[in-house]
Amino acid sequence: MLANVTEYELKKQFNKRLLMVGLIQFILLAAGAGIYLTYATPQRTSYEAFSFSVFTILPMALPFLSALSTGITLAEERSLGLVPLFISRGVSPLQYILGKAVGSATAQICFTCITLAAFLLTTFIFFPKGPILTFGAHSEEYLAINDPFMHSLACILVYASAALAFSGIALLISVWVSNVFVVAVVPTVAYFAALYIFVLLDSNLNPYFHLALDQSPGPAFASAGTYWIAVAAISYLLAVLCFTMKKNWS
Amino acid sequence: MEEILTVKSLQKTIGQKRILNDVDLTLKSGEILGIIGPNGAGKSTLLKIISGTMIPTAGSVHFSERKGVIGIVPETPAILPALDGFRNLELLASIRKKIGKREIKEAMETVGLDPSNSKPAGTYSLGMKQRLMLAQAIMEKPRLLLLDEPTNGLDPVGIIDLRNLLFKLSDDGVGIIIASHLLREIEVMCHRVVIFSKGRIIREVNLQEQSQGFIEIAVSDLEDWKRLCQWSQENSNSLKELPSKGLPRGLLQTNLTVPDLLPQLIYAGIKIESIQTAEANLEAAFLECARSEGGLYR
Repeated sequence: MLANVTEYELKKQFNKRLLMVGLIQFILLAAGAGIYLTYATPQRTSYEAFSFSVFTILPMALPFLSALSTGITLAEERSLGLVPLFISRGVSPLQYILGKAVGSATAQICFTCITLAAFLLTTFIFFPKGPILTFGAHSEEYLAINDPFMHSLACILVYASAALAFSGIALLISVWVSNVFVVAVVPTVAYFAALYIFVLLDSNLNPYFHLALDQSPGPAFASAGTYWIAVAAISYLLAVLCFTMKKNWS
Repeated sequence: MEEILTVKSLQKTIGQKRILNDVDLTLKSGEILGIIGPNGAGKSTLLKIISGTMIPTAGSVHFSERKGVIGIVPETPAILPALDGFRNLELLASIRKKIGKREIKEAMETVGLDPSNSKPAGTYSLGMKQRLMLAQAIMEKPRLLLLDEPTNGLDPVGIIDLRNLLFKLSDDGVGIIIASHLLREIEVMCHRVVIFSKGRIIREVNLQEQSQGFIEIAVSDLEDWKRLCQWSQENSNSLKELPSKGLPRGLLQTNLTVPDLLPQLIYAGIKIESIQTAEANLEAAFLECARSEGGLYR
């Protein structure tokens, strides 16, 4: 039954809305590439254009787009009254929420990776390949200069894990809130509030910077990736636990 | 007929409020049970607990088919608005994978929907959405069907279709529970009715019993009504007034049959407009409950 619910979720996720959100994300990234052209750099390259776009534009939009693409799935079904139709078909609340979590997480990872990979490939059309000299993550300069492809790939994976975390936060909120708009907005508010608090606490994190990539101690990609995967795991786990412990799923 | 559903000592408390209070209920295979009562009486809560979407505070629900489907028609249609009707049902059927496209099409045709209609279900009229809900409820051939206000949004033809469909399902052995405000529809559709108030069953009416010693009488005017009241008092028969827009109308409880009663009333000078043996009268039972409860709606 769990496999069936997961399959249902995946079938439901890949719809026009996901395509629309992907398109918006792509347009934002393309706008970032346009801004990149106004900055001076020793050598314009496709990897650098990708790196610049992703680091400057995406952190602002990712929390909202992640929640809107897959995170609102539970809130949407709760507001439409679909949950009882599952439970009356013998699906337990645990199977239902696990299916939702696995389905939406898979869809989110695929969605973010595909969109960013598509943008990277598009930059190959407009810019020559070459090292990232100016706009790479500071603590990953060696990788940016010597293996820009791996740098871009790692960047995609970190952003996919961050997107997963935002989607998980939205899923967790949906356990109590069925208003789709509220659920879509909460991860953005939480993200900027957390960054603001970090600044108040005199942390090195810059609220307008890059999903913690720039200021992470040690290898930036590894620590930022671990951080977002931990947030994602906790939020998905809490969503599953809290939903299962409810006494009314209608 | 075997019992397919047994509800025992069911209680539900939310916060300080007791929603259900010691509800006992049984349903036999092929039986249509109606639940009526004012808003907030606990009808929908009972259906939610039976369908498994709500956990009771105490008591138990036993459905004879442990892993069987329970068909539910919620009060508000639950659909994915961007998908067409067929795709909606196909997605729901994929949860159990017990039926294919043929069964889905059959269910849609049974409720009067066109499976090839590619319009998004969100653009359907309320009546069409309600039909779609019925189709999803019956497509997997459930043994138990729960309907919460199923006539919402249905046009007169839709209501008649629904009635015929429920009778057919009942003949096939499906147990059906309908919660509704519409006394007339419940009366026509159900074999048995329970009247709910403040979370408990206050009366059970068996609508299959053709006569319970009640005769429904309509008289010409108020003077005749007064004479009828007087006659019933003198003859120790109870007379209940029924709500009426036209002629005064009442329900007389008596041991006499209509052919024996009619000459006596004429002899007493009462002008009778219509007289007939009353079937178990839900409206009368409901009003009686309302009186004994100090008004169900208060």
